[in-house]
Amino acid sequence: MREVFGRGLVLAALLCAAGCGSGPSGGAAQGKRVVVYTSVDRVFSEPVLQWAEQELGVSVLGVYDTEETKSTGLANRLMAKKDNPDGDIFWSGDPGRTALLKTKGITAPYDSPAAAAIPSDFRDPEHHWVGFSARARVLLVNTDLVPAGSEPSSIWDLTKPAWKDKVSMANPLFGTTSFHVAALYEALGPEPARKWLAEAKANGIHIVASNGEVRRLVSSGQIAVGLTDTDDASEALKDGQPVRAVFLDQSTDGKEALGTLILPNTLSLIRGGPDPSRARQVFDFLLSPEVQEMLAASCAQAPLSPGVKPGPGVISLEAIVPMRVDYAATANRLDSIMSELKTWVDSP
Amino acid sequence: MTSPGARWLRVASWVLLLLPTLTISIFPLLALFGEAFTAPMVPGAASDIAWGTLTLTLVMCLGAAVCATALGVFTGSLLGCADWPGRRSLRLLLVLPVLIPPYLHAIAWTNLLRAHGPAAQFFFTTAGLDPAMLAEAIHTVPGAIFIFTLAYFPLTMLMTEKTMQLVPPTLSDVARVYGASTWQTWRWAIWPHIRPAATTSALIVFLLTGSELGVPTILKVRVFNFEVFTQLSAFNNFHSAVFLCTPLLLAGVALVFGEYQIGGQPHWQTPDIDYLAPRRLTFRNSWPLAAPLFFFATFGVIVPLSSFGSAFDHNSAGKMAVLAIRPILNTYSYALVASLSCMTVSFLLVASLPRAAGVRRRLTDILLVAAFAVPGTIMAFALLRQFDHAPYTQFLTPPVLVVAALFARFQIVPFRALSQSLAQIPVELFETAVIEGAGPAQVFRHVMSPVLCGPALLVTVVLFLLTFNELGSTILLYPPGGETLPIALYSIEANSPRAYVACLSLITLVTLLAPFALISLAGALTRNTWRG
Repeated sequence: MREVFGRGLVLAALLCAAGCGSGPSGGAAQGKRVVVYTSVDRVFSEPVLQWAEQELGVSVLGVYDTEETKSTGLANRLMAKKDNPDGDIFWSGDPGRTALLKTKGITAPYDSPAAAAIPSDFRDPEHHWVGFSARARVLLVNTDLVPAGSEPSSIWDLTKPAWKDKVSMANPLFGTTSFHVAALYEALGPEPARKWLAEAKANGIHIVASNGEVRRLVSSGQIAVGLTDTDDASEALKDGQPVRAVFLDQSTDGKEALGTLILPNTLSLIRGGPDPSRARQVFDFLLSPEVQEMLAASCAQAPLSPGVKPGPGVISLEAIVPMRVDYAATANRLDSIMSELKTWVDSP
Repeated sequence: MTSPGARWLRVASWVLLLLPTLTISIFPLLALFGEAFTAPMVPGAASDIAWGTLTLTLVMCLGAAVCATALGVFTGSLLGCADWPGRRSLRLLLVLPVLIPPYLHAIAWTNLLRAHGPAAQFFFTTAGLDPAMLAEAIHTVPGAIFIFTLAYFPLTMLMTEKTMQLVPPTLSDVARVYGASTWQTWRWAIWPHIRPAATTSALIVFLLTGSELGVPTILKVRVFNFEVFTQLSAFNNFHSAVFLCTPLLLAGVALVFGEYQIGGQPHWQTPDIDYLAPRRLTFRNSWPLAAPLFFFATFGVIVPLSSFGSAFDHNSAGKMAVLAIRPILNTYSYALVASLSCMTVSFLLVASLPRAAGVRRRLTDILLVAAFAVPGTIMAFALLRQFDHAPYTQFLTPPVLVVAALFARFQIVPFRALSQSLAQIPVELFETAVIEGAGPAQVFRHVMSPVLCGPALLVTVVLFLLTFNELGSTILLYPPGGETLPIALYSIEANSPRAYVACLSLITLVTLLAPFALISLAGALTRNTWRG
């Protein structure tokens, strides 16, 4: 028994030594590193950060989030580490979290020269964040269950009897879905938005854990249609699933269309981050047209800089009617409707 | 029998050994709860407690604890007191599922039972079952209980088998001489001795199930921890999140007291020269018993391996191997340092307490269970709020905080397990040593250590597995570039190709199993050399 203990201890000591030697605090590049917190899926964001590392000659470390751990994720970590931040940049997949961090005093203003070409709709007037590549909210439709031409064309169609129990959406307390619902409050006004929620609930809308889950359910044919993001739709199409993406509310009879919500990625500098000067270099690089092209190719994100080609299979923002919303106001709205949304989610 | 000097030495050691726990878990948690209870939003939060979800969670924990304990006691008893062919191979098969992290079991089973997966197709073609039925079944509370039972029953099994080595064989001999059947022998001669170990392992399984986040996340089963995290992420209401942990904390403490009542005191044994080598009952027709176990154990191992193996491809394997190198080293560092330090302190802490369950032991139990009952994320928040600023950041660096969180969270496991083992050492051994003039250090060195060495090794392995798989606290505390394997796996789980997830899951499995295989191999080689 003692021999086994002894062998175990020797092995433990060797592994500890190996681990501590190669750990983050032992890394040679620690003095020249920029830490990027990103809620964009790792499979898409990591290659971008590796490219930045090669191009700029600084070590760029990612701290990643996932759909499953967003509940304990990056925004909370940034808030918890407010007094001793270990990150330099926050790269968010939607503007909601960024606006929250701004109000909590966690982001710092930076008027990046690389942001000059980005349309002003996608920039914070106080320079706390800037958008650079965008997803859009779409309706993912299972083509085996829904023949072409008969799919819903408006969010209001989802509340009609024809779609009873056939629609899914992610939990609106989290992620881009929460921002979508807040945007509906902004664009439609509180009462119509509440009416839509109530009617959708009455029509048996399925609330699931995440947009990825919506994709899985629609792809597998368990649900006919579901609200999700273009990157999820793109993944399903890449996998050869029997689905298509529909942009809702593109036209109405004579009236102004509600449009599709555009969700820009946002970049912010973190206040008091370890290396602000190198962080600005990486920040500028991430806003470059090349990065936007890369994101368009990898996860179908539409570039926001004019003149950047979206690439095959990627939507061009000029081709769709966008929902007209003020992103900062929507983020603030999000805060005020959370209790209402929780009640809605918890109601039978 | 103990002199006043020795008693004071023990009390002083106890206080000293509790200091790390008090510093890194109890004080930060007290500060956090104090802040939450005095914050203005507490009344609102109180009304937000989701009693339905809380009940469902407690049912899930209780279900997993009961099922894992029943199965563990059954298999442990079979392995410990029955003698039949294939016993060693079966033990190995039955132990393997505990080496597989619970979330990998969950990923594997959801993969296997998915609507268009192989199992669904098989049952659809052979029995006409709805392909979605199995997928729906696994995404339920019973599905979660099944996964937790599969993942945790070997803990009970090992503790049962280990405890049975301390049961005097004369007891079962006497029972059989008087004509007792196998069942009666087990019920009246063996069960009273293993009951405390069974209840302790049930308590541990209950707490592990309650604190595990990965399985409910993957199975989409809404547990109470999600209510806590909803307050954090949707409302950014930190105080409400902490406040909502109160029922979990109270449930943990209640469990400890419940365990005292149900489990009772271990039966102190009379010295017996044979007590380490129990005679085994012989089951003449043991295969009807063993066959379902083989089936179950094989499924526990084969399903994850085949599920990940079927999605394996070489390109993905290369990419994931590169991604995994640093996380492997980080995870090993954190898990080894945390489990060894936790084990050492617990060993000494147990030694510093009297064998009987007195006030100090109960107080220690309550303090340790408090740190384990709250979600790991809340523990991590407590540590960050308390120590993530000057002057602490000079010495409490992020890796140290990770180890501290692991230490704080899991100390209850070695403490409870070792207390149980200590209480079963024949009391006469201590008395004889003291009468012969042995001091506390000599008693520790020559009486306790040799007997506790085996259980300690077993508990160290369990502790290593628990710290290796921890996600809730490490996700908030890990330094940039210092991610662990579970964090790496979770960060690619969404939207990555299935082959990536499968490859990284396989790498995680191999990483976990490799050191155990190496140690076993080294042991076998050494034995062969000696024989040669």
